[in-house]
Amino acid sequence: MSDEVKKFFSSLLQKINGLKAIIISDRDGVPILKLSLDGKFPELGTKQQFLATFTIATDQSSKMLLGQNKSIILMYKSTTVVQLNKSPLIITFVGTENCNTGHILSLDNEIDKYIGEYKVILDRD
Amino acid sequence: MLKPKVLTNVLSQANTGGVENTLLLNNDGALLAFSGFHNKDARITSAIASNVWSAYEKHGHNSFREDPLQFLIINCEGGNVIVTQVANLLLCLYANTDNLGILKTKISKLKEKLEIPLQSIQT
Repeated sequence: MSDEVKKFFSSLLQKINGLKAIIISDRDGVPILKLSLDGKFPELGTKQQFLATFTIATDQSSKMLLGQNKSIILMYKSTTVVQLNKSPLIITFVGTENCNTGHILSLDNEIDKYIGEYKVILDRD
Repeated sequence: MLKPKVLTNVLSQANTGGVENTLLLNNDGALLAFSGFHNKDARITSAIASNVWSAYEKHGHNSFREDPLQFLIINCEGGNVIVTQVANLLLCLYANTDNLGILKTKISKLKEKLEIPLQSIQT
């Protein structure tokens, strides 16, 4: 991914309280961009199997008569995971239990500006 | 002895401020108790909520440091669904509002209230 996109997501790691890692992957959970605050990735929320679970979850959630699924927030005892549906991309934010999820969700439109071109490329393929 | 009428009354207390349905279901997605406006939606919601919960819960148990799933929030264009575990059952709020904070507070308080009574019927 371009330096501009990397720079933007790296700045989010610094800005958002409690955020540890950001992973951009495709629908199969294959990572395209992986960023973390200290070079280490938490075990929960960063594996391909976990990332791919979102594909099934978002498809099913869109059938609950509440419209298209936008995101899924998971609050584990010591980990918070926010997965955004940017089909065909999945953006996963992994943080501590005190991670500011409201801040992450409010960045929805800003994230669209940066990843828009990649969505077009992947859709074409 | 579980009193279904009382249980439904407790669940209905959460049905304010955009919360349409409050559901109590088992891990297989079968509806145990329900309070709300759309009966048909409730069965679909419970089936999907339990399925998504189980898919993510296993990742928490499989991780090196046991990290149980406490809350699941499904954020859709038209509203939100929040799920948590109470005893060995799942409690679920279906809302057409975007106020995630109030939804989490509501479900936490309901969980507190139901935890002990429901533990007595745990199988």
